[in-house]
Amino acid sequence: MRLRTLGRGLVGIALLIGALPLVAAQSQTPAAPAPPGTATAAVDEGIPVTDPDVVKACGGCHVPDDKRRMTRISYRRATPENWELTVRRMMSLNNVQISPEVARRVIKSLSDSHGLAPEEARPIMFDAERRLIDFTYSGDKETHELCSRCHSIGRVLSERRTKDEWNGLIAMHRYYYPGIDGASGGFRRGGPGSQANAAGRGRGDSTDNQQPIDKALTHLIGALPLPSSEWTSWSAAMRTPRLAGRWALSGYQIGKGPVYGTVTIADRPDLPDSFTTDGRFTYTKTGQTVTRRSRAIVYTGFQWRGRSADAPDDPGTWREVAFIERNLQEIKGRWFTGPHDETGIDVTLRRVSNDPLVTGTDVIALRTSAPAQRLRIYGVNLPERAAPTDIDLGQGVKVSRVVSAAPEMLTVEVDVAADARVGVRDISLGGSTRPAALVVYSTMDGIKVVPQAGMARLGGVTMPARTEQFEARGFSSGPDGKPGTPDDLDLGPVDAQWSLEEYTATFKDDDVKYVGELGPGGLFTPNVEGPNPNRPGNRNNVGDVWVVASYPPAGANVAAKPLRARAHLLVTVPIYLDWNSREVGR
Amino acid sequence: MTRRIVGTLFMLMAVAVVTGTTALGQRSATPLNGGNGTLYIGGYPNLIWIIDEATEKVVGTLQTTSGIPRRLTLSRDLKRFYNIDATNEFVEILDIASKKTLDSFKLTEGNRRVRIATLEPDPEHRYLMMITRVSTKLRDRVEIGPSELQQYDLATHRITRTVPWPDGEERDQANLLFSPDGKLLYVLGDEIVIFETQGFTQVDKWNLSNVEEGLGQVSVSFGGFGGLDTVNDEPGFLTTAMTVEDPVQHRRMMGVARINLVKKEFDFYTIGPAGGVNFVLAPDRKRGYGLESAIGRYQFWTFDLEQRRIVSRAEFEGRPRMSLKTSSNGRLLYIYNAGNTIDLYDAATYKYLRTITLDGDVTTGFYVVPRQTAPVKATAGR
Repeated sequence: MRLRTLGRGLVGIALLIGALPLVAAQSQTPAAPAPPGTATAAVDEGIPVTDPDVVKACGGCHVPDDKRRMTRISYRRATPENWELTVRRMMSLNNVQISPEVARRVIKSLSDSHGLAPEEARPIMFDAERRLIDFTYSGDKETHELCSRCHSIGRVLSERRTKDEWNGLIAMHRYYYPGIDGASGGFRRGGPGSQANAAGRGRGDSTDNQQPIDKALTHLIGALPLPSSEWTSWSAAMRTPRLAGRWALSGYQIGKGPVYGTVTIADRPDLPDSFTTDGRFTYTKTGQTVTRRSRAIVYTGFQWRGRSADAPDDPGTWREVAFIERNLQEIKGRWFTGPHDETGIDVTLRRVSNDPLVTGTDVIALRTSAPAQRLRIYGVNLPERAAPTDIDLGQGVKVSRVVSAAPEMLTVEVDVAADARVGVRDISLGGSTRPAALVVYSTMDGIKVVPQAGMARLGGVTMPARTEQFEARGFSSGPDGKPGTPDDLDLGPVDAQWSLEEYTATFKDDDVKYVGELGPGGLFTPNVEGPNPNRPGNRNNVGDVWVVASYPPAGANVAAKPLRARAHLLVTVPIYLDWNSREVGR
Repeated sequence: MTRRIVGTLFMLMAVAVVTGTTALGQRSATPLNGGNGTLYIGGYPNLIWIIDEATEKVVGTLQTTSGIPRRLTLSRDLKRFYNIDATNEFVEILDIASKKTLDSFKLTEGNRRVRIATLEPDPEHRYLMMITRVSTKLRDRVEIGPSELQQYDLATHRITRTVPWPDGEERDQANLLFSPDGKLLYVLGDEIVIFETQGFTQVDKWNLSNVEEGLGQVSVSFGGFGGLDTVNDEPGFLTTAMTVEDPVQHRRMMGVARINLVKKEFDFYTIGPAGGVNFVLAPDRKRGYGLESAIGRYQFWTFDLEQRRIVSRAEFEGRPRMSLKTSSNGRLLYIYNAGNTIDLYDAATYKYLRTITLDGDVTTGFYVVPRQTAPVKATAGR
């Protein structure tokens, strides 16, 4: 259920992120960081707005006071995505007449002066990165359930507001969305004498006398206030990120495996906090090499937002959302594309110096008692004359031969002793160590399917379909020999046989006949949207099914049963109605 | 084994007695249909389908002019629909005979948005009672006003009265219902508040958390998705389902509640463990039917309201998001809601019969109106 609501909530974020990279293409004024110490102001005092562009664009309604605090705006901090959502709403529903260029400058400025600190943004990066995950907000279950009825809880956690501002946000919701007070939105229920109220009174639990939205408000006001020590610290320390230079890329795309390469980041002299990139990377599984250039802008000193293209005439079909670590040595995030942002690469960029840098390997598991296992080691500035003894993989693992060597890849053969200790291994080479780069294992004890909870959307007629890519990964039970314990070892992807089975949520369930097809590579392609006259009840092709992977481990007895694992797949309707669009509130 | 067979036979006989048929299907020679009434159900886009119950064909539509119908209220004399649209801002009054819109209005003006949660026309079509809420959009913020119980004069198109809430505590959602003579207004929610309709002063309040000492919290269902539908009820009465959780064992039981709208009496009895069953009254008022709908568990229930017991329960191949109605002759069960189909089941055997397919998705409750043999008096009950 949470996954379904998250998916629904992610609708608008797609639009929002889609527009963000455009910011990078426009000229803008320098960022206007908050004056030092403003975030230390007392609760509800507000953060002044010092950027004249923002004052000019927003001041008609949000009148500044003598301390340059603008109504509403000064009493809120948010991510770039949420500021953009607000600016879009102002333009579409409140008839704000500003050019796209000004809108982008406003978003940039407010994200810098009224943004989130890295510590505040890090837990919710999944939202901007458009990850479809089963996230549960541990702060308050009821708040999570209430907000997730319509959108991702990540959007809520992307906000910091004063008490009045949280109330104002809820009032806006109630003004625009009919039914939000009732059963659809769940903000309010019944009235005096309700069952919940009476039950609450009976238990002496005074909080149960509150309406659901009032309970959520109480939580949000306390948990996500405007001032924070994190913002106080970051708003003082925030600076223009100096990112120009060469970076080593390592990444992973589910279904396609690891990627390695390099990216060169250059400053854009015409735009502050803006960059261009020139990258090249290779999929180790297929050898496919991709060249990609991008433009990006950094918000709040650490939030990378970009759009990249594979070819000169490509307007930018991949988007980049990443988090810049405070030491400016590492950038982590997700590059993604697709009508629902469903295709993505988890990317890590590490700053390159003159020294060797190991970024990873093509396979992540080495089996004991196996000689001459081929291993490719990726990195930058790798020694071209490396000897086997220069490469250290730990006890029981010996590099017997260096097959080839180049600055960005070494190919070696490895002998793993029968008594090699099972576990996670580092790679050390030329003074560079990549921790936990691979594992040593003795037997593959099972497989797992990821994601464990997948979601696809019907489409293909008038609405775009959302595919779902599954992957089977082997695992070893680890030194304790027990599956499902922390020492289990991930052995990486395996080439499994795929099938769908009915998830019998109801008697005589027949979803598997209608939902779509699972390809040999684990890619699920949903059926078309709309009523199906061939299905009882004229129903859509929606449903939920098991995705089953079957894999005979290498070297296993032919007669032995293959390893099997499964995951749940929900195939749901297209996003017919975008709850973030301005038309909804008109 | 013998005991089980005897029990089964007894059950079949009980079904036969209650439904007026036998398990062997004496009526199988005649086509099983729902009667000669008329079915009304609103849908997308902007219409109410009129279905002849005998032929199960769409024979006409009422076109709404104010948008997608969402909450339909059938007037006491069965002549008009009062519709609240999907935005909760427009009210439209449609004459069923002429298929014309008689009147429409909205209270929203400029930056002042008025949403109407529920309404009920008085038996004489002179005014409406409504629960409304005002939201006002200011330059940089929105202000949400309180929920209000208001009287709207249909002749002058004005709000003529705002009725103070009992104890000053606003109610968000409640069904409204007049007594047949229009002298009492019932506000049916988590409690039941009764007003006289001269000055709209409160004359009674039934606190359902304290109906009887030792009984526990009572929760009464007032219509679910479709809102109130009292077409089948005896004039002046409202029969519906209730649940109660006893305060000692904390077990939830279901039962039937019956409200005498004129005498202001609330009668009830429990009938078995609570099972999340939606209740509808059969036309003969001797039976009720229940629909239990949870993922993987779809059941029809039959209640014997005279003997105050459950006659039978049976699982069937349901569908997501179902609602239930009985046909005008009580022989069919209609399953509707969420989609563009109405499935027909034999009320005696729960056997699926066939499906009525509409041209668009259903958006409102479903009315089954028996053929009228005589003009319905405006003051008659439903």
